[in-house]
Amino acid sequence: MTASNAHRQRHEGHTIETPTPSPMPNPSGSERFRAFLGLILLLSAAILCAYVTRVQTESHPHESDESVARCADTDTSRFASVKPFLPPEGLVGYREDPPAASRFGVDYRFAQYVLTPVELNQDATGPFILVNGQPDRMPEVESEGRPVVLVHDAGNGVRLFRIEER
Amino acid sequence: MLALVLSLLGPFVVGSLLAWRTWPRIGAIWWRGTFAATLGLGLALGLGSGTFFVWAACPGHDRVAFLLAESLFFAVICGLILFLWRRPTTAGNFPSTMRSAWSWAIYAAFALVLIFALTALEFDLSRAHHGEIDAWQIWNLHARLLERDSTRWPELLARLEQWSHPDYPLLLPATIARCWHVTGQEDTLAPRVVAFLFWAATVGLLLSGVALLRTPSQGCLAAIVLMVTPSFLHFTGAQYADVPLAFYFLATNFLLECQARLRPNSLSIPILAGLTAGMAAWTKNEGMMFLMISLLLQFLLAAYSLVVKRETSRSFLAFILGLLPFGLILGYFKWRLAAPSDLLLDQNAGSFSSRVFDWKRTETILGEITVALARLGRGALFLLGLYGFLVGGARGGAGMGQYTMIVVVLMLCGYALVYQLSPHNLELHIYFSVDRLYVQLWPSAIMAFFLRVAAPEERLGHAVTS
Repeated sequence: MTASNAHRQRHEGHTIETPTPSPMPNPSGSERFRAFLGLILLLSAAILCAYVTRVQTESHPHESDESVARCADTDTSRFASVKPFLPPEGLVGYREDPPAASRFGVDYRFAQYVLTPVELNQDATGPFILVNGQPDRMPEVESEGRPVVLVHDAGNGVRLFRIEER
Repeated sequence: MLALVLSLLGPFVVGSLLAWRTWPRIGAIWWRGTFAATLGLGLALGLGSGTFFVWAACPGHDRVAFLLAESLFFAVICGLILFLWRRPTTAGNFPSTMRSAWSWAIYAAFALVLIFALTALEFDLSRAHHGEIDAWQIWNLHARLLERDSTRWPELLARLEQWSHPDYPLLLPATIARCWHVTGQEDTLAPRVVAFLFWAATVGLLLSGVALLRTPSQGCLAAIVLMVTPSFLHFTGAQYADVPLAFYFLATNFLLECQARLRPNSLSIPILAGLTAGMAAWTKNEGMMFLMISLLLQFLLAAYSLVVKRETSRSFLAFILGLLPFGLILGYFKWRLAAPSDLLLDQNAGSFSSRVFDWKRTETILGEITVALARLGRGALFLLGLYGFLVGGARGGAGMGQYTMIVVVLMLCGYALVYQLSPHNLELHIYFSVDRLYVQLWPSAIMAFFLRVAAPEERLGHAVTS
């Protein structure tokens, strides 16, 4: 801010520099036309873009209906009945049946989100193993020969097993 | 819903009072009110997260005791603001009182775009309650940990796997967990409301900030450009932390622009800027880079004042004072609780130096970020460039927006450097993050642009002072 367009003022013990409005020269005809053009262009593009975004939000949502419904179901009901059986502390082994294509699949992560603060771990070998599978197929739990006890069957493919000590 | 609104009332009163008393009595009261409410809203969410984190880090977690202690704390802060916080004063006449004959068209367009944006957001937020993947695997998961296990959360957080980024700061999780804690109900409404509030605060701050420093029509144009940016809407609906971070970047840059323009002797503006910069660092790791850049620039400005103008600049110290509360919280979190960042894992001097001087990586990075820049807001940069060319620069507005532009450019350089050193697959790393990085800087860039270009009133004539 230069001295020409600024002034100092004392008020309530504070010194403030504020810009003083410089007289605004009248814009030329060409300047007005260009500004008018720019404004029309900007506003029409913005309204069009807002409309297209609004329409696309509904017609092409980022997540499919199926995925959204699955998340909601998993959070509210899929693991609901097994929660009371999970240990309050310590790692709980997590398996998927059939095994997920990726070690860090979305289902595993979402299960951790739903069940936190229970610590799920794909490498943990017991004593508790949570299987996120299918209702009509009993999974095989690796136990290195130790007895496996089904603690809870949620009926929807979620089963909690305990591997007993020898 | 009512309980959720009430849970935010205390910090909102503190935040808006702080913002209200920081802005000098210039501009129409409507814009000053909008400024105080929107900046206050963002401050409220940040302050709430701070109090909850401190509470969660201390032993004893009784809900009623938290409510009483927090209310008392906010009451004391309110008192301190009323008695100690000095409002800068000015009798200067700002151009924000101007209107043009075209203002009605801009206001109408603003209203229309706002309706489109709100309905799109309503659809997104009411559909996917848990947000998109990063929302539930990082932010909402951390929030659940804070709320569900008040004693063991530090160790559990540190033990989370890398996909959950246990090193990320906790502003957003602590804000959500605080809402749950105060209302006594863990639901998916709180994260969605918080996401929406940050969206509204960012749009409102951009609107009122540019309206106060320039003209109301200019403020509306800036807000329109932000609201029609699809990625900004998308990441709000996705409940990602990039929109909250964008808010704190914008707030800090705006306040420091004001500091440079108004140059008040009161230190309230740089203190508040320090506070918002601290909140940015407490939101995401990128916020720490922003904090470093802001600190560096403030230091250089102070040194320039001292050496060239022979004036002692107290604003740098005020900025540091402002960032202390959240700087300390962040320092404690990073030092005592957080796991190491995934960007530092498996790094050694050899791999580090081989990446630094790998020009092929540099080429890839420049290519990818340029393509993403062109894609931003469906080619908004081209449109803004054309608009700027047609309308021209503001008369007598030299220096307006310059500071923010420098910050934005330095942040982009910083992001490029992080990509250069990234241990992850470079293409995937860029693909999954570059749009979010642009969203973080976009509101600040829009503000800088509209501070710089001529307002419609200046070019279309018919300027009247109300």
